[in-house]
Amino acid sequence: MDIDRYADLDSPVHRWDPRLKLPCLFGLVFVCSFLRTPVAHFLALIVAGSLVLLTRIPLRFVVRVLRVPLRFLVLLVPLLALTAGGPHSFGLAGIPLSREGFELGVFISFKALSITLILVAAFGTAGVHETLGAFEALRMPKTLLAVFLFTYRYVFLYLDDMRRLRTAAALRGHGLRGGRPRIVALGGIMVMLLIRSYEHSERVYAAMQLRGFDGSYCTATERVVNAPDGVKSVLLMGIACALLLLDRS
Amino acid sequence: MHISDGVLDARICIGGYVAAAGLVAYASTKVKREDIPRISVMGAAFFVASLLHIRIGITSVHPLLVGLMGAVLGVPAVLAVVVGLFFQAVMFGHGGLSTLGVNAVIMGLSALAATGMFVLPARRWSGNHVLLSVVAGVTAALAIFVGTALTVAVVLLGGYELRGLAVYFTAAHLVLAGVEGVLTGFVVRQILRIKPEMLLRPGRTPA
Repeated sequence: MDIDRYADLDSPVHRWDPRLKLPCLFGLVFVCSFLRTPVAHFLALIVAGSLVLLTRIPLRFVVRVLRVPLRFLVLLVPLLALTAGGPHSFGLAGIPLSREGFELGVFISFKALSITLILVAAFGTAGVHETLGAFEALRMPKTLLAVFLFTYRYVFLYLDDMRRLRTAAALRGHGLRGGRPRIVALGGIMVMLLIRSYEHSERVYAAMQLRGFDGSYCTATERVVNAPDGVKSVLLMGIACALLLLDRS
Repeated sequence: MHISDGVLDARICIGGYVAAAGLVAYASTKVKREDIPRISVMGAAFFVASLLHIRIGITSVHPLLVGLMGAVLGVPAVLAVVVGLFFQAVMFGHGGLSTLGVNAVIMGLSALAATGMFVLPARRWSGNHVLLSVVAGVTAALAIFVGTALTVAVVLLGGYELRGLAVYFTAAHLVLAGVEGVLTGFVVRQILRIKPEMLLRPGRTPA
């Protein structure tokens, strides 16, 4: 779950300033969403895959990230083949399926996989704090940015808390046998987690006030946009436009 | 209620981001600086709590907790929802990046619906914890219904032939609504016993 585990690697994508990288990659995400033809979908997947290869992030990590959308797509494609599109035009083991529905499922899969790969390139090549610094530079509202920062900081704390609470509940025999939790035991864990977080938040605010927190976000990393960053941005936007033109032609 | 990448037309995805920006702007006007730690820290706790599995027969579901978030955090729950959805997409691949705006609007509006449905009963029946817990449970289930209806509407308008997906989605979330209603009712009952000010803050209790 730590998407920025490989943020310390060195690659052209890692060296790309997040203030340019993120808008360009988000642009590519929306271009992928616009595509409708099979060739354009396929080429978009190639572009996204090439980006990830350039990052030098280990493939086993990329495959792990792709597992979640793949689980959904494995259900989606047969569901659409059964229910979507025109009349059923082919059969599999006696089950009538629609070719249009199947194709729709495959196109959605290509899009989803392309966008997930772009997500790896966007957020796996810079630390979360650097990404948040880029969001600030891109004029994300200060309130939302502060919520991002503090939520990220405390997610890991509460993951550890939850593990301890589950272990404690299991040791006391509160219905957590064999990974089949009962709703009451789960509810008890949630109650403890939420009450602890509420009390914790009061202390966090007091600590923030003592440290003179004024709502602004400071980062120690100083980046300067340079010529290679500009070239990469123009190149990627050119590829995105070419995909769109090919799709529309 | 997460819609994954690739399912929606790009125009709806962009529209979702625009609508989400408006919702975030509205929620931000209700946030004071001293609220930021509570929204963030509790938002992190809700995010972690929503990772728990609840087994139902041969399958399992994750609670969404939008109803409970709306009851506890009020209007600023929208910010916690947006941040939670972003981290779910980036850390776990749940939901999507192109559909983040749409998902934020759907779940944000569900949380706001829960806030609206819970505020008056919390003021009126602040002394009757059992009744308030039942109201919270019903509110949470209704919030899921609201979110499911919005999701189905968006998916059907999404530009693709996805009726089968919409039917499957609705059936799955009807079950989730029941589970979440029971879970929220239980959680609220316990919170009212241990730390009632979490739900009955000065702005909500009668003078």
